[in-house]
Amino acid sequence: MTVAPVRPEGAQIALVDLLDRLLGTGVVLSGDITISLAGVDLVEVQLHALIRSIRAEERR
Amino acid sequence: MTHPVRVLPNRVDADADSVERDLFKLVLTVIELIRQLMERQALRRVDEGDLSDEQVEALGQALLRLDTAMAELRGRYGLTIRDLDLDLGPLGTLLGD
Amino acid sequence: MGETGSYLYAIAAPVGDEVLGSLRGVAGEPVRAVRHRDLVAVVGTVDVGTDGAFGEETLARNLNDLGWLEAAARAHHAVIDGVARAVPAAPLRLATVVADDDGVRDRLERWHDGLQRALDEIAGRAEWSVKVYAPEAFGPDVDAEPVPAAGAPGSGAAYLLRRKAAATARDDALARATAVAGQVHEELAKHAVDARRLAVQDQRLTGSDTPMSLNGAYLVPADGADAFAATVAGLRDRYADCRFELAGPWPAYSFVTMDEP
Repeated sequence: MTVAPVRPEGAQIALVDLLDRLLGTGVVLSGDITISLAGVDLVEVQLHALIRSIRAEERR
Repeated sequence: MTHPVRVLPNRVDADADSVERDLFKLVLTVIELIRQLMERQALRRVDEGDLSDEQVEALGQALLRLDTAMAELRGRYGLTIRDLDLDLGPLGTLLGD
Repeated sequence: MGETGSYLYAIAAPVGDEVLGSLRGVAGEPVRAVRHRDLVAVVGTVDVGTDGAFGEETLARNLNDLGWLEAAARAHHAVIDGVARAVPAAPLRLATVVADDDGVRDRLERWHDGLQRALDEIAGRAEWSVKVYAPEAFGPDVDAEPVPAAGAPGSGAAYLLRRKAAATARDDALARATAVAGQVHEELAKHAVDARRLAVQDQRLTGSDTPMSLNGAYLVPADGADAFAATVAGLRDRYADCRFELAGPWPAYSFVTMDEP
């Protein structure tokens, strides 16, 4: 019993749509900005937690 | 026709100019937030009708001058309002409704 | 390879090895079946050791690397898609790793009844995505307005009037977009077995010049796809100033994705 009819190859799902569905928290455009000068980290601006979704268990 | 937006890299590496630009952006964002809050409050006060004509005019002039000054400041680094917008995740977008 | 784990892609109705044989997983690994009763877990063996891509620290780093994340998401989806074309399949979220196949079988046993119900629900059905974009922006539009010269008498009050008009226009646009989104979703839900509203996507991610007002997911029987598309076309005509995007058919992600309990 098939789920879907033949779909056009090359009609790629947008990455945003994929991540919305595959990540627990969905997509948030944000991140930590580290401002550095001459290779020295000076200021770390934490705007928001980065995309995170780890469902892992019993890996030890 | 829409174009996909490039996601910013996490590390902003600098020469002095870009350090200045990023700090500038942060400062302008905070100022822009305050400007918008003040504008909203001003409009509310005007709506409530408890201000005299002179007060309304003075308030409008002050906000107009602030708006002009901010536009000029943004212009120095080629920043639009959209550029300043920070997404705070669950707290919602910082600027705008 | 160091310490290994079983990466879960999907749980499906019985499916043959020939379907799985052509699929490759997130680490390029071959995909295989772990069978228990009438369910099949679609699994790949991945490295969860300290240096492995799925070790705790490395995985956290990788998930924050957009390039890695994109490749992993597409590979993950390709496996699910490959299976879903053959049999009903319930997708797992990205990076669901279990210690070993015994752990996999254990979960199949624990989740059995719920899974069976889920698979029955999506059998012969696919997810379609309908997005609606508002005709105009409803954020602050300060850049669009030319800033007039201060100082002229009456210019302060005039400025406030203009800002007030802009604020009202914004509120009206937002209210209209919200109403349209509700109407469109309600209409589409009538033509689907199930319907869900997902969070609208940030303009900066989609690159759209106007905000998204509806991000809907609809579960539609395979033989109902044409009728669904016709419904969307009708809505497009009715709300001609909005932009509609129809995409699919996709595996039923929004309706049966498994979360760890």
